Amino acid sequence: MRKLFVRTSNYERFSAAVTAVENRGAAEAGMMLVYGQPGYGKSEVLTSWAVDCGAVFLRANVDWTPRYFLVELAKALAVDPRGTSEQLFNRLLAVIATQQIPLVIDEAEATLKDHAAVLEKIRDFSDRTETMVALVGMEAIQTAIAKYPQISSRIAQVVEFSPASLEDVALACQQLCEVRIAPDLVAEIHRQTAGRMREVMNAIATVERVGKMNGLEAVDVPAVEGMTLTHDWRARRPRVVGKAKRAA
Amino acid sequence: MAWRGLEVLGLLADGQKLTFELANAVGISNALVRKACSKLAGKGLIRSGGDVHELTDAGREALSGGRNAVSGPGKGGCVERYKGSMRAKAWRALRIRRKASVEDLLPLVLGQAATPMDEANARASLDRYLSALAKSGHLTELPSRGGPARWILTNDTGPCAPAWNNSQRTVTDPNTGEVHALPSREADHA
Repeated sequence: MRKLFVRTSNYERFSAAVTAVENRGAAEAGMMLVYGQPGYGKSEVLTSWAVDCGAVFLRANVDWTPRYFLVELAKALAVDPRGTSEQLFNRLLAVIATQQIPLVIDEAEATLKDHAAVLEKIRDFSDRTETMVALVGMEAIQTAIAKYPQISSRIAQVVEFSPASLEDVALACQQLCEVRIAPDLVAEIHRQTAGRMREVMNAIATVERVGKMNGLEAVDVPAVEGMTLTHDWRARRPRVVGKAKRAA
Repeated sequence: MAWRGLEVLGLLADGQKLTFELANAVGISNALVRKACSKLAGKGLIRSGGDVHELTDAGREALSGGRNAVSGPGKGGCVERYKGSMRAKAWRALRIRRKASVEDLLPLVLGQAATPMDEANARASLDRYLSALAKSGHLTELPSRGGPARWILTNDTGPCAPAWNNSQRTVTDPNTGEVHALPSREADHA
């Protein structure tokens, strides 16, 4: 199986939002919110973007305080974490402002406790340095942030990560699988995985294995009939590929 | 045209020489001699005053075989000069993920247009880079669970990617300024 990053529709929407934030009218509105259910590829897309542009990527912890956040940021930027919070903040501000380093905060729900004290600190960096901050969280984060208008008004773009479309799954099958996957099996993978990219990857790996073992040029539904491509974790049972519908 | 710096270096073993003397001896133009001398001076192997050139102690050491004097980028710093390089991206990905295998890093470092050949080359290069970082103490290999080798970042020294110099077998960490000399391949296999 090839090891490439597949640019799905979620990635394209995220890229368009990044461009929109970069070209924003209000300088202080430099924040972006990315949310969606687990398994839709939020962290993958954000990691890829952070690696490409050299952004600082921090995963918020449940026990983060403003000071804890500043120390984590200092470690990521190799800045001396000693001194008072004010000294540390100013030191970090100088580095971020001069190098214009974007910031990604994954699991951003953890920044909302204690009246969003940590998120207020993050907003300070965004306001003063005008660098982009991407907040990544689950579905409920948008409502939670809306309670703080001084923060939500800084969010220039909101990107919802949705299940991968049939076209996304077809693109992943085409780019990653070393054996051609027939359209009927692409549709079956899309149906079974409900567009969760993590499960799509597992299914592609299984199909490729079957194709290579049997020397098949292309793998279709009849070739994997009765096999398990994915697992239904809620029902705790494997999802088996059913019989192919024969043409009348 | 191949770099003639090593020949120029060898001719200086007898003492100071003028640019035109070196040009005649090597059979290249004065301009090419000046270019080669500039590179050798940059590596600290010779010193030049106008058109007069002579060896430094480092240059004498290089000629005696105690030091490598090849063309190409110098040791360390190289990776950071190219922030879009595969190793720089791999280091950034390791700082984000903390734990990764070569397989995990490939999608993050390969471009969209990567061919299967590019992928194979990247896989081999990353394998060498991660092994070197493990030997220099930046990474630790996790216990194998039947899958590919996985590594954990145990010494995150900063945002700049450590540079692995294969010919000199050193890992230079621009974050700390440390140069880690790794054992030779023969010592590895012993």
